[in-house]
Amino acid sequence: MDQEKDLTKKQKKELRKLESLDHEKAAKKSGTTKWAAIIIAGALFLGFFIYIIYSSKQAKNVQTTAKLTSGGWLRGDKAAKVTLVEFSDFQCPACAFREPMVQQALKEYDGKVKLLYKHFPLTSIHKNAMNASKASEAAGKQGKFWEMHDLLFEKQSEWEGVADSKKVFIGYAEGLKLDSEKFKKDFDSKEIEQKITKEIDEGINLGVNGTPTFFLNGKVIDTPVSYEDLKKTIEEAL
Amino acid sequence: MQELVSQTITALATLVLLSNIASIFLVLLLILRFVTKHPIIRKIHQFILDNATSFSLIVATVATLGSLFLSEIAKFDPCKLCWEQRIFMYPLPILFLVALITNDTKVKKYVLPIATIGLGFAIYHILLQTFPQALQCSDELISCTRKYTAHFGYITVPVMSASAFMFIIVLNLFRNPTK
Repeated sequence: MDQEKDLTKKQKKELRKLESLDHEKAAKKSGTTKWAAIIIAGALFLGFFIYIIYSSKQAKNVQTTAKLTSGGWLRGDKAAKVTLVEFSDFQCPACAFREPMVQQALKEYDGKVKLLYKHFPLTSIHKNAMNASKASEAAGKQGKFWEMHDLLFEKQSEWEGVADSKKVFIGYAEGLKLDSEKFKKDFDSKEIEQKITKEIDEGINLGVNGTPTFFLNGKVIDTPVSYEDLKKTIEEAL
Repeated sequence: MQELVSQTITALATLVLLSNIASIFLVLLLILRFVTKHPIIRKIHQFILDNATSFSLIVATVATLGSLFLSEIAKFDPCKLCWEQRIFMYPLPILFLVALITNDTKVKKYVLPIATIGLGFAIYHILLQTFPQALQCSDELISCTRKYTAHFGYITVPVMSASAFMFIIVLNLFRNPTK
């Protein structure tokens, strides 16, 4: 720095000239590769984004009928024409909010609509969701899946924040007059965990990324905001 | 669609393999240039030095688009750690592009720390996948420890990321020895 200060204005000017000459020389040398690199990078970006736009337009036409398995819990008449599939999370407030709508639809369209419930616990944001799913499955082992399901949604605010959710769920099981020893064993079983994981994987493969996600006769539907919404969609499918 | 995805991933993995070989070659070149003044070594060194920014632009572009391909087309959900690495990769193509257009050789100074931090995240991610018990990171729907793809026995997504950062770092280590 000191050295630079000592230079006269003229010398400084010359130095700058020399530097820029150096730059130009270097620039000339790598000129072709430089522009080639810029063009290749530009073409890659352009091509990629054109492809994304193109494929997203196509995806809208293709993704309408997804492959759903029959895994999950069935509620309503087996022979019903319309199947409503719900990917749900017991700790999800949005799911609890829509629970009465689903119940009402099942009642109003008894024999025409059936519900297939699939687990999709969002374990990253809901710490007790996985345990809740396990509790419902363990109750299901004793034939009381839907009783536990209803209870979990009803008392969501009671258990969502607790540290030891398993203990609370055992309490619920006792309230439902389940064999609590068997419940505890099933709760921790690999079998139940695998069943839930399988349903989560199925949801991921179908593009489910939030709960609740509803499918009506294999087609994903907009999440209903009111019962009227849901009713309209069902009427269309009937 | 499925075929396109698997073919592109294989292509990306091949590029990664080549970039690993190139990185090793460049490191050797840097060492050789330091110990000998052989004219051929000097010439190759000068060639890399002259075109380092151009090559870096291509590498950073492929890495950026590759990661976008994995999330947007192959539909692999990027986990939290993937996002950290993306943060440090995505600015690089822009930096290199501007540097090329304006003939700015100083870009190396800014790029090296960015790429080094990115490499740090990538290495952490690789460790996490190799020893999932040792470290914890699972606050995403798709856990960071889930290995999506392993080509040639070692190339997973974070290995791809680490290779790209590594290649960019090595490319930008080249300096004019006379200065």
